[in-house]
Formats: sequence, C-alpha cells, structure tokens
Amino acid sequence: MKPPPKRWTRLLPVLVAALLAPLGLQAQSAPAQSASPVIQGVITGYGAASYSSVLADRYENNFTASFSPVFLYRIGEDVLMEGELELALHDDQTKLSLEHLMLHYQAFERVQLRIGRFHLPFSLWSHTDWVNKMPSAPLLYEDTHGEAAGTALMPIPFDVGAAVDWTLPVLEDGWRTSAVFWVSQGPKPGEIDEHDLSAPVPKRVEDSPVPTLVFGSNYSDNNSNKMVGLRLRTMSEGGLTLQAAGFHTAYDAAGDLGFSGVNLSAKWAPLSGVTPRFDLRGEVVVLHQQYSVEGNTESVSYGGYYVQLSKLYDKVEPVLRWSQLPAASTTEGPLMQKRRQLALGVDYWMFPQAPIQAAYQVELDGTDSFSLEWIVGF
Amino acid sequence: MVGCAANTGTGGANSDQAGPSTAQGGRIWSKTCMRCHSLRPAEQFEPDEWPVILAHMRSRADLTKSQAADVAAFLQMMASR
Repeated sequence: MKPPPKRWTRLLPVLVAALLAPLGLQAQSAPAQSASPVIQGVITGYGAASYSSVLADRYENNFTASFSPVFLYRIGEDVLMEGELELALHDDQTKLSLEHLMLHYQAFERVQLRIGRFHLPFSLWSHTDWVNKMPSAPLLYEDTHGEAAGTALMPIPFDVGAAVDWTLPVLEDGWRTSAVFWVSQGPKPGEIDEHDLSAPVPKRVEDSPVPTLVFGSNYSDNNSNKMVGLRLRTMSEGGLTLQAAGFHTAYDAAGDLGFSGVNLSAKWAPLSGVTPRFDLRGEVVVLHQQYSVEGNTESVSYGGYYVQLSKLYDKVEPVLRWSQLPAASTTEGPLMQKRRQLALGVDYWMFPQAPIQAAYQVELDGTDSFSLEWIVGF
Repeated sequence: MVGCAANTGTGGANSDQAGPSTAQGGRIWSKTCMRCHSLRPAEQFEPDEWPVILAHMRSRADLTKSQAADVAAFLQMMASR
C-alpha cells in the first residue's frame, strides 16, 4: 500500500525546479509549475543484524544492527527524489547517516541528471551486501558496517555532486551501453574513524608523508579541487558487463596535489531462464596520489584487485573471493604493506530479499576474520 | 496533469503503439534485473508503485526512459493478476 502523499512533498517540484533552473534545464513534458503533477511515494529499504569477529583476538568481536529506510517520491514522469538513511549502532549511541540523497531528472529519452549525494559510478562493488553476495568487502573497499576500518584501499566511494547518465545509441543489438560523467566535491585529508562510513584511504605505514583521504563530505573550497569522473559501461543480454571508470581531483586547498584513479571491472553472469548460471566478477583499481615533502611535490601509485565467483543452488549460494593489495612505497619509505585475502562465503536466500550471509576471511599476511549477517529488505 | 505513462500499461499496454510495451518490458526484465539482485515477486508492490521503483532503478540498469516504462508496465500487469 503506497503511503499517502504528505503536504510537504508538494513543495518538492518547486525545490527541484529551483535547483535545475540555474542549469538552464526545462522540464521535458510539462513544467513543474503546471497543474499538479502526480506524486507517487514508496518507502522501501532494509534492516541488517550482523556479527563479526577477528579470530586472533577474543575481544575484537561484536554484534551490531542497522536500519536503512529508502524513501522514493516520483513527481510526474521525469523527476524522482530518493533518500536513504542509515540508523546504526555506534558504541553506546545510535548514529544517523545520510547514505544517499539524489534528485533525478529525466531530461531526455536517453539522458538523466542526478544531483545530490550518491555512490560514485567508479566501483562495481556496491554498499548493499545482497548485491555484493558477501557480508564482507574485498580488500579494495571499506566495509560500510564499520568492520576493519582504515585497512582497505579506498572506501566504497560516495560523494556529493552532480552526474549525467547517458544511454548511448551504439551497440544496441543485444547490448546496452552507457556513459556517466560526474563532478563532485572530491576527497579531503582526514583521520581514520573506526565507525565513519566515509573512511579514509588507505591504511598507511605510520609516519607516511602521503595523507589519508576522506570521501563523501561536503565542505567549502575554491573550486580548484573538485572531482571529475567518467565511466563507460556496456552490458550484453548474454550477461557480460564491462566497464572502465576514472577520476581526477586535487585534495589540498590550493589544488596543487592531485589524486586520480582508474577502475577496470568485468562481470559475467550468463542467464539460464531468469537465473544466472553463475556470477563471476572482478575489479582492478589503480590510484595515483601526489604529496608534498619539504616543499617538493612527489607522487606514488598504489592499487589492488579482486576476483569473486558464486553459484546459486536452489536457495544456497557458495561464494569464493580472492583479493590482493600489493605493497607500495614512496621514495621516503614504505607506504602500504602487502595484503592477500581469501574469503569463503555462503548465502542462504530465505526469501529473495532476505539473505543470511556468512563469510570467513583467510588473511595470508594478517589475522583471519569471520562475518555473519542477516538482511531483510522490505 | 503530468500522468504516469507506465500506468497506462496495466493489463494492456500493447494495444497502444505509443504506450509502453509489456512484451518488451518482460524481455528487458528477464535479462536485466537478476544480473544484480534476486527478483522480487511483482505482487510485493502495488501496481502503481512499480513506476516509482523503476525510476529508482533506471540509472542503475542503464535503461532509457521508454525501456523503464516498458518494464514498469510489465510488472504492473503481473502485479494486477
């Protein structure tokens, strides 16, 4: 049953029109000011309860829980507001986070604009564990549930800005090809916060001259360090997805210290009926960061990759994942230590929107860990 | 009035050449949604909620506006059965 329209939602068309007016955009089929566009709302989302443990230390384990409602309001044919909140336990308090807030505008048949806070189209890895099929993230990305904070290559990248999605009129016979261009706030130097969802990248050797960076914050700058990015993606009806993404930004106030990244991703999930016979996916990420040492600008490259394979047998889906971060060094010394991880997981799909996910992470260069999570979507 | 084009697809969009196609929507649905997540039964949402869900998924699945309307029409038809 859809929720009844609230009085305040009637203000949304005015808000959207105000935001889009400076961009010179006009509503495609009807101006927002015209008589009463239909407002349709849906509240969906999910709740998750999890347990995680670092097995070498009997004290590093905990239960936690989170609740993530997603509010969707469609105004007319072409405008959508979507907002996702997360209420999560944070020590002895409950922390409220804005996971994402997007205003969508379908400007043309193939072009959509998005403004707000959103998952950057840089990574294939999602912040939704049932899409990822694992309760733990590969070494490339920070887990959004606060586990192993500060040890990944980068957070699952969210940022505040604007994006243009364009479904390209090429390769249309059995393929769907798209380009996404985005401009966003960009990262800034930050400190590791064990529970901060916008965690810094990456785990550094102590006293490294290369600053850690935090994504997803909104702060004032002088426009010299905005992030610009592009993703090209093609998907075949046979279940193959190929994508390449890159970004460039600067992270200091003067805009002198650059930070860029490249991501090459592939996913193969050939369908048998409407069920994938298997799901094979992988990503390679390379980051390049400039830093300052005694007034001189130096740079360093670092990165990593993962490969994940899963196969569904009725309601049970075993998952196998390998991820690796090679060691990286600056001229001043080591930056990151080598990490290799084999993750063995299994999902039990109680319902299509209610998986129980378990995973054991074998750390070849560190300490093993275990994750268990039950998610219920609604 | 800005109507919901996909709403016109409930139970008979194919009769209108200019409207959404449930047949095309079913084909896109069967080859797209399961690539990322398990398929929810159509009846889990009210028919007039599916266009909102499709507006939410449109950019994630690289659908054009008319493709999203086709899929919404198909799911509305399934939810109405």
